[in-house]
Amino acid sequence: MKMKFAYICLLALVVASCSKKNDRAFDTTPEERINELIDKYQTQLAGGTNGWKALLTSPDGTVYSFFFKFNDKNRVVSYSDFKGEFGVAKESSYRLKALQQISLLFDTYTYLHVLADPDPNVAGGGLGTGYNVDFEFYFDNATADTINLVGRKHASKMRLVRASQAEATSYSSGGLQKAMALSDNYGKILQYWKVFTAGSTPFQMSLDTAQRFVTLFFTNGGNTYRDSSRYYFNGTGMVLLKPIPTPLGRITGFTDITWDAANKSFSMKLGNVTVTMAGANLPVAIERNSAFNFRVTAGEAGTYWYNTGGIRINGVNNAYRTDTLTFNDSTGTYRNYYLFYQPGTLSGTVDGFAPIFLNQAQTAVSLMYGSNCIVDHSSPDGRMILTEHATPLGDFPFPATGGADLWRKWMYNSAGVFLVRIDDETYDMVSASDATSWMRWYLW
Amino acid sequence: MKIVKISLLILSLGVMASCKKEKLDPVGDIPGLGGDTWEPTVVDKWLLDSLTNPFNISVKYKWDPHEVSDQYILRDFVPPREEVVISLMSSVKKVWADNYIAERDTVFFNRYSPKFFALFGSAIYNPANGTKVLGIAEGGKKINLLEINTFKTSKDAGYKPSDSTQAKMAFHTVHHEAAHILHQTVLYTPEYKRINVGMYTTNWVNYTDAEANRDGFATAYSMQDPNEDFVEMISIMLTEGKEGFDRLVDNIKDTSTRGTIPALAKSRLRQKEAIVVSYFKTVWNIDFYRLQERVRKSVEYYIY
Repeated sequence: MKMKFAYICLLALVVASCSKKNDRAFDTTPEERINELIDKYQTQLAGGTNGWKALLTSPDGTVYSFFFKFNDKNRVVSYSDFKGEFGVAKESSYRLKALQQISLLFDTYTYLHVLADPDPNVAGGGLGTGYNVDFEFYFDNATADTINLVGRKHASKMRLVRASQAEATSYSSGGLQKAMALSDNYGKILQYWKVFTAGSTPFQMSLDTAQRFVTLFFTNGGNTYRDSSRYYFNGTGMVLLKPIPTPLGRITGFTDITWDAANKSFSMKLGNVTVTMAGANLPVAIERNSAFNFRVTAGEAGTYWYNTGGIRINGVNNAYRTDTLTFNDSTGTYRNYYLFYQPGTLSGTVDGFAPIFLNQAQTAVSLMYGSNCIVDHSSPDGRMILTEHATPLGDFPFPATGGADLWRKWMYNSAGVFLVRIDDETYDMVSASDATSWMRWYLW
Repeated sequence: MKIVKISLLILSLGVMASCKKEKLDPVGDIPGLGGDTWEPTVVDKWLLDSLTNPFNISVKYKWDPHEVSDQYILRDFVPPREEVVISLMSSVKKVWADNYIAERDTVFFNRYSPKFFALFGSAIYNPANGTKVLGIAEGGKKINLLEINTFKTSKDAGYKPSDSTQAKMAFHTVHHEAAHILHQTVLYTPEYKRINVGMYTTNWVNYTDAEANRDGFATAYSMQDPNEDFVEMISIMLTEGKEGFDRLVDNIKDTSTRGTIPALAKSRLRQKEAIVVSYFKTVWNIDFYRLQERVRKSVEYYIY
């Protein structure tokens, strides 16, 4: 009896030991699944016969647009809206690789790498970092027409969207380069005020080509409105990431952009309306309270405004070279660090401005000399007029010559200055007597 | 009972046998096993025909950050421009491989040359102190050449005389690393290590080349250790040529911060030169001065 039991047990064991049941969670091996995915993505990329529109978002939120056309032989043709000359096709190499995730590597140099280049001489950006964008991406998710990629190093995001035949043609026929005439030539209009009229609405544009922000000012029913958006270029024009609502409807971008070098003006289309944008000596849309807000913003925050780029005059950046100001005492030479503007130095209506210096050891900053000014922003056209207060700012006299003196005279121009709010922490100060002359203030 | 026992034994054998696997689990097609592959281009073909087939030297120019040491893996650097690869490697071949082969032969060169080059477009920066890495070599086998995107020789369009610094740097790095293999195979006379005894320091980064010269070193990096000193001597003498090296020696006019008088610095460099020349003759049967003349001539071809 005992033996019989042993036989039964043994028999059960024999049967169980031969079981070929597959208890894996998947039907296929990991290698098979990886290869299947690589093949799938490879086919999808190369299958975009019209190419892929790509938007790359860097970790700080800046958006760059690209256009890629992949083939099945590890070659990719790129276009980029980083600068005008990148509007022409460039071929380089790519491959898909099973890293921790299936990844797309742009494995020889192309426009994408210019943004990642650690050498600031190549295209700016930080030393050793560039613009913190990636050229190795893993596939996050994909549908038939959209592929979402995430950078492996900086987690910058890139979204590929299948392009149409018309979009592919717009790139191959130089449309991107044409559109970028706007950012390439914008600085050639010497006046601060870049204005156009659409329908009966006057508009004023401010373009920050480094941060890739566009700000539009316009008036409606006697009020001035300001709105801004990040932008990028594609094969047909400039696209606003966040459409701006206006009396004309929502502005999603500008198309058919052409630069008229002789007249220093742009012709472009806002929907179906063709407008001409040119320089003007006076603003057409100024926020009435902007001078007041400029003072209050820093005053209430208990801080001040600073400027490092100096004053631009008639197309010349940092015309007074305030960055080269120095101050000497027994401890050595102090060098200019930034320019400074602080509301309410003496009383509610008195502000102060001064160059701030860094000591020779680069361990401390000091205000050596400066000027207190009585502020009048009562003018209905939005100007702020400064007149010098009898009490000076700082322990040393304001120099009577050189860049500091030129800046002081600029501030005390009897016509005053316009303040233009770009955002709550950025204001442009524009001379009211010379529209080609302005400086930018950032909140500390 | 016996029969039962035997049948039990047979059955248990059957159990074991039934579990025997005929072969290993099938190994899947592991992606990337054996290295990445891609459709060969003109560049790949040139490298295969000019370096891989004749010398068994492979050149990786497509992005693979793991070719540089792990300490740099988190830094930002970029792959090379494809347009530069042939210009760089053809001049390296001419300045380095062709000259050794002309003075000895292909068998010698194939046996003692580094076998693997990895190329990168930019340098690797250390933003904390503003330094950058331009070349790394490992184990006498691999040479990493960096910042090649701006590499230009006088045979390339848009060449400026100032580009020669970078071109010479690449040639210098290759000769330097190649020389390491020679002394790692047969060591130079210990006499050499005594010439600058006590003056080797890992603090060499704080010295300029001119300061190093005043102590009797060919370059600041020579001060790292005698092996680096030895290969820096070889590389400087080859790429600068006899005239250039003589000029380097003659330009030593001041006493060093560590108290070496010019006459002593000069005599140290000359002693090192003599050891290098005799080492090449006795160990490798190479006339160093003839090799030097050839190398310098090819360097000049690319910088003038």
